[in-house]
Amino acid sequence: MAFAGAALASTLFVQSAHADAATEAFVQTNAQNVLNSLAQTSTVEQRRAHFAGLMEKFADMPTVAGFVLGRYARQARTDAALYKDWVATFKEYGLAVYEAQLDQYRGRAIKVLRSTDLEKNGRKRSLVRTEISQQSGAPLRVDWDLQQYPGGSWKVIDVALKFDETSISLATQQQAEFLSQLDKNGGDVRKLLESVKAQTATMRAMIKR
Amino acid sequence: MAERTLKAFFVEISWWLTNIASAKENAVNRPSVAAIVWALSLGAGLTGPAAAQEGAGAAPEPSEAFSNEPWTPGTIRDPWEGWNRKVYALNNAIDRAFAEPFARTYQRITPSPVRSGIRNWVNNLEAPVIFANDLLQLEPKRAGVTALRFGINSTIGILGLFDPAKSIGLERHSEDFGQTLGRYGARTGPYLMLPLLGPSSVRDAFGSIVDIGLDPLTYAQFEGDTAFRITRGVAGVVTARTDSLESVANLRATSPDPYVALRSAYAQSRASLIRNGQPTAADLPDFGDPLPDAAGEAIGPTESPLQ
Repeated sequence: MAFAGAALASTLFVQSAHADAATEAFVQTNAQNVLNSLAQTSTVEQRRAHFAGLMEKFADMPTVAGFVLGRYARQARTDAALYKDWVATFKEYGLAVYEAQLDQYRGRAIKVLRSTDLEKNGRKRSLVRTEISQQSGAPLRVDWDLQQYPGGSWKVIDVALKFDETSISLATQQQAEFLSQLDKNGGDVRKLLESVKAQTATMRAMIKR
Repeated sequence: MAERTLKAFFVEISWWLTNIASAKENAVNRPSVAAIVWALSLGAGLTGPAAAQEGAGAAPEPSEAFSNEPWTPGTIRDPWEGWNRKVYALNNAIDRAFAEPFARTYQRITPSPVRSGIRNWVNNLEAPVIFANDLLQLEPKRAGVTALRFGINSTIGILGLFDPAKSIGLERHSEDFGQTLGRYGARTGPYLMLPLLGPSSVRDAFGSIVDIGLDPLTYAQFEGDTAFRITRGVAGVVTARTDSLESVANLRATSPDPYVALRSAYAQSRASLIRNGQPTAADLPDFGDPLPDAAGEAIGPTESPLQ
């Protein structure tokens, strides 16, 4: 019975995902650098600056900043100064979120499992599946969602945490939270911006060391 | 043929579910009597292929049945937010007073192998419902995995306390009737926060009721069956709450509005469960084109990130 199960299992779980060596290497190198940077024993300011520099190369925060505003993005872009301020505010917030989420995995090893090439609205996407080792228990499963740019380069636009067959995207979650706030404050991006700044400060204060 | 019949059948049920629950008053179409009869008879476990066949022609296609509103996968409408937030507050109060402290104590006083044994036992008892939904979704391979897991774990795994099936590569997956409806194109309908039970949707709450009907344990009669059912229910709740201790605490601590965070997590996890964890372009968030910012500068990477 066990043999039958193993034979069946081996036919069931072979996946024909088209691997993309470039995005896999990109995630392996940059995500590992990011995790290593959090383990640095320098001052908080030095570590944060280094982390911010790595994230700038790794993730496309301005695109995410537009995405999380959802249906309010178009209107927000009409006010150039406000939108610029929003992108800068969201970048800082994103760094704090990533730092808070990844801090417990600082210095841990990340392993790329495989990748899947997809296309959305004529734009190439690559979903790179990884595992981050944990001190105890099963490794954390993270999917990195990358988008290709006209020059052929790639950047991360989303991360998804996985449990069994469920997957929770950080960008979608943030959009839901921001849209809920905007719906309640009458679509005032300025008010949202102030509240996001306050949240960033709170998160920064929570990450000690 | 079977797939088409099933699909028409489920689409009709879910159309009915989604619309009857819709807060919108602009209902252009009305659910057919046949749909209501099907839904009720399905709930009672009485459906036959003949009934589905008869009305299949009348069943609207998903595109026209659900075209009333734009919808993004992984999101959920919440027209009853005021009510839902009240129930959420109540659930939270009960959780903080009873469930969470109980789960923490349980975690502290029981060794990890005991907890995983109980988790395996609870999981194993879910196999019949998962198997039934695998079949309803016309997934013979996944049904095979579920059946093999149940056979192996109930015997070699000592009544399900161990999970030897996993070690030979037969990974567990979940299915329920809400997912089955989703697989055939039904949307979630409005978000629904259920007292004590937590986040759900109109579709999934209906699905949970059907799942009770699909569970052989609902009908099984044996010595001590009531005690067995209660034990299983309590073990399931305690296990679920203990396993979510960290993530719930994290959600409460980091989210400015945990209600919204939970709603999004619920909608997203249901959407990914329906596609069995397989990534599809349709389910990825749409980031659009990298837009030039209002100042006219290009936003996006200016250099190749691969260096």
